[in-house]
Amino acid sequence: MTILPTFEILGFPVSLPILIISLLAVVIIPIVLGRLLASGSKSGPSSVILFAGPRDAGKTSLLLYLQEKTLIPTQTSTAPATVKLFPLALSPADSQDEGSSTKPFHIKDTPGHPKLRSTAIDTIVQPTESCIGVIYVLDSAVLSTQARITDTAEYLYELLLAIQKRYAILSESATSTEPIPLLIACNKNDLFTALPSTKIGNLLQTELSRMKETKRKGLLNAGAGENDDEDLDRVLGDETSDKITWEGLKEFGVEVSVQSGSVKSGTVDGWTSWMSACLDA
Amino acid sequence: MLDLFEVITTSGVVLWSKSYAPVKSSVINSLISDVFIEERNQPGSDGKWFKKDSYTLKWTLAADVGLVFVAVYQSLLHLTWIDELLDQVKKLFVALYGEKIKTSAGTRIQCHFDQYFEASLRSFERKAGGTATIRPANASIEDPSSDGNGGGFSDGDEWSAPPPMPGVNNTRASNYQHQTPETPYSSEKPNPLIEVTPSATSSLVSPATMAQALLQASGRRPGRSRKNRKSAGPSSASSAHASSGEERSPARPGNKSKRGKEMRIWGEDGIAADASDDRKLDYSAGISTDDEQDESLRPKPEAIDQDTWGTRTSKGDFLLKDLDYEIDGILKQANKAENSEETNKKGPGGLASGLVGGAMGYLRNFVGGKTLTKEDTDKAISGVMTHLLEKNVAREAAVQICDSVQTSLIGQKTGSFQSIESLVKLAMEDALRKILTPTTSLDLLREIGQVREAEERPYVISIVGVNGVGKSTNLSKICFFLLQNKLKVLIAACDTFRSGAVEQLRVHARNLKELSEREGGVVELYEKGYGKDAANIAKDAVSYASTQGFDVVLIDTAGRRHNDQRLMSSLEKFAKFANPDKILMVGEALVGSDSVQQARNFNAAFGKERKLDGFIISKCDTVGDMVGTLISMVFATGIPVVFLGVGQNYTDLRTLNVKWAVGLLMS
Repeated sequence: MTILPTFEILGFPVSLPILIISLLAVVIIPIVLGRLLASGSKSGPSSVILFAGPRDAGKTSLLLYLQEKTLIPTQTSTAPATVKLFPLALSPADSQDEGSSTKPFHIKDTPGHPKLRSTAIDTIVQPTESCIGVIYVLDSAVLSTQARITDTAEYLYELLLAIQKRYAILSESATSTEPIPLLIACNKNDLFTALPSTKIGNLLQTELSRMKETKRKGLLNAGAGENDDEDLDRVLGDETSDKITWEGLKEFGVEVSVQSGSVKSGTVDGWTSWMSACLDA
Repeated sequence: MLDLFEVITTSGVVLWSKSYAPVKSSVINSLISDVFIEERNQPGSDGKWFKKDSYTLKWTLAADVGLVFVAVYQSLLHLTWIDELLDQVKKLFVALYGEKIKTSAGTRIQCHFDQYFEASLRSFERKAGGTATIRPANASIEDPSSDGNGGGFSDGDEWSAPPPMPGVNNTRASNYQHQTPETPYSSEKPNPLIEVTPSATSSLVSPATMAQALLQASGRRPGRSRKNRKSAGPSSASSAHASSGEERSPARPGNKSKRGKEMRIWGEDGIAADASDDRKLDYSAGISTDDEQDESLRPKPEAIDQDTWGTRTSKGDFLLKDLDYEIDGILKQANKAENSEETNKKGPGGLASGLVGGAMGYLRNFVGGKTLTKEDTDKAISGVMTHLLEKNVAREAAVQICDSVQTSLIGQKTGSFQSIESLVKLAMEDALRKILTPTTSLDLLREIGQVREAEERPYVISIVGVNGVGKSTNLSKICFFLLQNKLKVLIAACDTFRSGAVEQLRVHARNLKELSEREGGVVELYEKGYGKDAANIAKDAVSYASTQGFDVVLIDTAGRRHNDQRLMSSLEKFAKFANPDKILMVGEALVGSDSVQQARNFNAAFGKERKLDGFIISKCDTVGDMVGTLISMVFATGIPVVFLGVGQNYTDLRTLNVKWAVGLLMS
């Protein structure tokens, strides 16, 4: 039997293996604990409804309206914000009706500036992040100019593409997946120049179709084919035709509905009931 | 004078704002999108100010709590103290509400910041010693509750019988009384406050019986108050000679407030919050200074007064007193915290604490949860900078990008088990993606279609650039792409300078014609030989194209050195004559640090109204992953990359994929 070297620490004799083991435990346990805690917190909030849309459309205002029931001034957002709400926030301000469920949900408000749109897109395509519905807030009063329609439709196209991708990923893992609901919230319909929601819906479908056509005809992306990145050559909706309709998109995992409203005049009932339906589903 | 002050969260919520004049919200919005998001500083501003319409905006950031403090004022005014005000307000606001904001996840919180702000603002305005301080009327926009209070005083003519005012005014009123007998004078200004004072003092100040003056004052009845008032004006006016240039001359009160400036800093803030009218504010200011004077003369009654008010009477006054100390206290604390942080960093306070702190800091490097300072990130940042330089990013651009990444990181906490290096790398990736992401649609085909449909004219694209970067080659690549989409294209040969330029295009046109015959596209060359004025040829080509029903006109121009003023100046005329829908500049991927200057000079060459619309980065196949030129050019101008040239063939034209480019740059 070999005699292990022993040390004396604070008057107690300690053998080498015990010393090593205890030292290892001291080093490893916090690391393991930390990892466990980190992975636990990484899953993020549950039941998230995502707000997206071009800037100045009223996403943050809508969020604050749901929170506070009043109109609160906002400026261009530069960072996303996730807010925890209770279903009670979706019922009209005057009613004291207790909602069917009291489970809280989250709203993630994303910036609308073109350079920051990746926040919303990334959230959607990340299957580990919760996203039970998307509200695309747009300014229905500015859609009379072609440039704004293009801008609005372009972001919507990217979002739809992202939702389609999420749906594809989810349906691979699960046997049956429900399409992800998307509400096009035509805000600011209190303004004189605002277009009605049906008109906006048609405008956007035509514009999306045109976009799909030019994207198909357009040049290849740099780096296409070098690495097998599947989202370089993905098309929105049906591969055989350039036409995009809301009905046609359902097959690809997006359930689109269009509703008018106005944060300023407080007519958000249509949107809140859509959100309630989202939560119940 | 300040027009607007706002505290905004990064998520876009206006937490608190104070407006002294209506300012469109688009003013601040453009600051946010231009400076914060697109990171384009206005020339000469060095990121310190931003001008929009007739306003100048200054701001400061509190990165750790995600707040932006913005001050808006008329550009005509040179307010030197704005920076200090921003700084002080930031400290106050963060000290008061920082914790709340952190827990509220960037959304709305309740804050009653008005008085603190008013106090700070006043103190700075007084220190500056400039013209009359506070703007009238609008001041109370944010403060409806106090509005009601001040309403009674708002009209100068109502001085005769105002009700006794509980609250803020009492101190002033009573103190004011001390002075009145000493300086009888005549003033035509109606003074509401003086009227108040007798009654106010009688009812509220009574406990201070030992103060003789107070007794005198309370003995006074409204009927005699006119005398009081008279005395009031001069007493303050006499001390305010320096401010004779006062623009608000009829309102003596203005003068008073000026005197207040010298005497006391925090005195009248409470009133300011309460007042809806300039005049009233000013009176209070004057009085408060008197207050100070008296204090030196008769400390005793003053002390007693304070006590009684603090306990007995209206909150307003008590708060007012409180506020002076409170603000001072908060600022002192904030400063102390800052200082102690610094000293901690420098010298070891004690061996044990130094050791523990060091060990914790060391652990945090691995475990995460470390709050980053500039020193922490320096090493990682310089590593990333070297990396960028190796990728052929121009030094100027690399330095600036790294700086902005570093500032965005300071105050952030590392995630669990996240090293500083990985955090910096992530932030850099984010920054690069933000730079390269275009803000406008770059779908050329759709735009051409829209112009054809809506305006029935040809879509004009012109191509500019330095010599030998591949203008004609890329033009013919674009032409090929358009022909594939069955468009009718006219090529205009506007390089009338270099021999062989026209012939070169003729060969391209012939090749393209052959290639595209089956596809159904039509291509034609418009040439006028050498030595003619390029702008005129371009103009003629466009009008020829519209009569002949072409869809697109592609204009080739002579290459020119970007620092040759003579050659560059002709571009302005060119842009005016040809009026292209898109001016694309071709830049080589091979060019190094010159890329920034090239992009800037070409961007500025088309006059005030016109800018470049996009870049074509050519010869990308020759540089491998060293695509730094992309970043340099886009960063310098904020103009997106439309196409990349990736080879020798007509088909070797690509659109930019931001993810791909960022991947290459960070690899």
